[in-house]
Amino acid sequence: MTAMLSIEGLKVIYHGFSALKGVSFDVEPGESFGLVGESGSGKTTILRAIAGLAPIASGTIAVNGKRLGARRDKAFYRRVQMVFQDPYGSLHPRQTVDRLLQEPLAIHGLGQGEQRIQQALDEVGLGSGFRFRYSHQLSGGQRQRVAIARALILEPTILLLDEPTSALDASVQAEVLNLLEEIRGRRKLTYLMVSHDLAIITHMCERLMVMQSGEAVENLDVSQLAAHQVTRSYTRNLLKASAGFDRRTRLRP
Amino acid sequence: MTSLLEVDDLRVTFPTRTGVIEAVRGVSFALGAPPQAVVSAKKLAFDGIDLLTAPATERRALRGKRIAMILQDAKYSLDPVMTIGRQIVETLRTHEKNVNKAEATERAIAMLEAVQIRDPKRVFDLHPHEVSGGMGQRAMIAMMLIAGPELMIADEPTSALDVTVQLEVLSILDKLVSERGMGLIFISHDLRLVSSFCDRVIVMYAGKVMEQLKASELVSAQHPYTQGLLDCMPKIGADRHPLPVLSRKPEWAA
Amino acid sequence: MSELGQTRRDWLLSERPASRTQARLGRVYVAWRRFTANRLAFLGLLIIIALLVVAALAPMLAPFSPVVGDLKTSRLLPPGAEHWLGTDDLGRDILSRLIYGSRWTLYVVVLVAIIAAPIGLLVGTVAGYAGGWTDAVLMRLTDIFLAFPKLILALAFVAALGPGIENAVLAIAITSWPPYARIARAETLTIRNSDYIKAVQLMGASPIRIVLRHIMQLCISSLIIRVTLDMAGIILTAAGLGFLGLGAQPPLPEWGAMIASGRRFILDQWWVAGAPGGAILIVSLGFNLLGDGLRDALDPRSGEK
Repeated sequence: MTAMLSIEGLKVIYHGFSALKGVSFDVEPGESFGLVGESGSGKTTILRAIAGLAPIASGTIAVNGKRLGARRDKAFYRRVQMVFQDPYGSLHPRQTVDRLLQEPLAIHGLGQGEQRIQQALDEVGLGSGFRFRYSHQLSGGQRQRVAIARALILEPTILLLDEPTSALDASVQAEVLNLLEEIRGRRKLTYLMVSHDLAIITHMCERLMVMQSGEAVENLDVSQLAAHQVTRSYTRNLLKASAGFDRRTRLRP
Repeated sequence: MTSLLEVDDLRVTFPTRTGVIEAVRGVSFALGAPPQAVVSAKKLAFDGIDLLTAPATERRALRGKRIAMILQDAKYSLDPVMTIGRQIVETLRTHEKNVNKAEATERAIAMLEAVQIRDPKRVFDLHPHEVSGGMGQRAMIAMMLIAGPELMIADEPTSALDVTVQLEVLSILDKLVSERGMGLIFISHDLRLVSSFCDRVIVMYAGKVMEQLKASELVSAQHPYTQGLLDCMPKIGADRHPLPVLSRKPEWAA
Repeated sequence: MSELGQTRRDWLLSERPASRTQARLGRVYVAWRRFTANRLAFLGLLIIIALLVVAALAPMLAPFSPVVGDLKTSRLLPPGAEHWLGTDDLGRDILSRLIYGSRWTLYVVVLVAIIAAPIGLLVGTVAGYAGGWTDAVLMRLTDIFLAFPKLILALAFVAALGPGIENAVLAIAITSWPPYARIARAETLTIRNSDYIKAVQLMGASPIRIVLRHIMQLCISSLIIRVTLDMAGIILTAAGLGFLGLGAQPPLPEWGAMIASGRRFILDQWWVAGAPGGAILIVSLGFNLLGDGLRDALDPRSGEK
């Protein structure tokens, strides 16, 4: 079986700074794969490189066995879509939800706009009452739902999720995570999800890769992580940190 | 024991174009000197004590000197065109007029060391954009602590930081609280952090106190809102699909 | 407010508009409310509306002909019951000339805005979004235009093209687009790296589409504000060209040219130059107040709260 997404020796250099130093991994069709790391670890850079938003210095990216060239074509964007971290920044401030959802349809010349928009809004749990609102009339969770609807309206097979809930409150986060899971189940999507929160990744993914300063630290199954079967001290530190503050383990002076 | 801080029926309203927003609707709590109290809320704006009647100059003298506040993101709360050292020295000399420059510099460097900055002399001369987020937040804490406040208000002091750095900053705060006897109000949306870091917790929703309890008893919280918040977070090793979601009851906000 | 007015207001301010039109009207209404909250801005708007009305109804409002005067009996009459603002050296009624002159003022202002603003917007957004060589070339070109004093450059153009109000308009337009290009570029640079533009790129949108449909939309409001604030300057430049004899040619009742011809009598018959000067002052003030109000009402940064 060919991998849905295959990344080989990916390097990204921004103005002389090596953001990714040769990273490889495969994501199987229908799988949800997590990328974990702290800021500057390069996890978001991977998503951007796949989406064609980061300068790739070397390495290859293949979608469904087909190697991507230097430029992404329109067909690529119908297969791969992305949901951004900050729902306050990812929606155009002067466009209504309707206009936001119309745009991808117009770009790809898809018909039945009315029906598709209605369907997309229903799918993310926003009724038609939200269709003509501007983004400032929406809460953070609703904005993120609109962003998800926008990504889904082109019927992609791969969804890149860049910390989709880190800007949301805990209760709203749960709702959005549930929605993402439900959509994946229904549409048989492949997820590549980035998060700094191990708990979210274990909840959403089957496998994950831990990253640090542009390099892969280790690859794990979620069950291994849940059982604390990790080999690298960095991962162990992350696990410990995510358990909360512990007054007894005062950090060294 | 008299309380360090007493808040009784605090109300904060903001008039806006679309009507009055009641951000805080009758909040009361007291904070003693040694134990930490916590205001956990999604949104909170407040200015308490008897500050309501105090004249502006008196309040200004209080701020920084006796009450200090750490803001969420050091990147936006430090002055970008001033070195970190100068900002700390300025805070100190505003509140202690008789401190000369050399002494102030010395104390600022000592304070940077106290917040576990490894090379305080170098950091003293750096501008805020030249340091990492964790370092900036530590510098901010140092600046707030330099005048030796009795009460520290920390508004989401670690939510812009990575988890490992987060813990380091928290341990610095913890040490200061236990060693100096400083009162700390820690505002956070992260219940996991609050339950492991603080002594007492006030849970707020829609400008009102839902419940007040010991942090250690947070897991056995009574109020459905607190329970719901705790319950809806994904946990490592727990296999719950879908996650339970919190249904907000209108009577909570009533 | 009447019950009907109340429901209409609710409909406009609805948080869940039911149609595209309602959403758009609601937005306009919010901006309008913010605008009218500013009294001075409203005064500015009234001045501009008055200017429009006067220009439109000039033949009806003007008591005399703007170009024909009675040289025998009515030369340089002071303001009085018959000639409210007096007459000039050719015996023409100054009020009538001012009323007709408002047409030329509007003509200049509107044409300049229509020519200069789109050029500036296009150059600025394209340069800002494309970056690299395109940016360098377009911006150096803008710099060259900016390096000349506006009036001198306009003078050179008029000298080359020949005097006349059309050429004056062209000259002013050519010299006033560079600041707009700079504003649009600066705005584009901040917008270009935002996630919502990345999101559209990820939809597969072409650069042209992104610039035209997503970036320009956000630059337009600050440009409108700037153009409105510049209107006063445009009027003054046109008046300056008229004053130097390179703009409107006699007997056109253009305000700048009127000041120029009144200059000779400024000590003894002050009203000949004073009246058009006052008109320019009032209209410039109107545009400035309007621009300030628009800044508060349209500013994208304050607009999302």
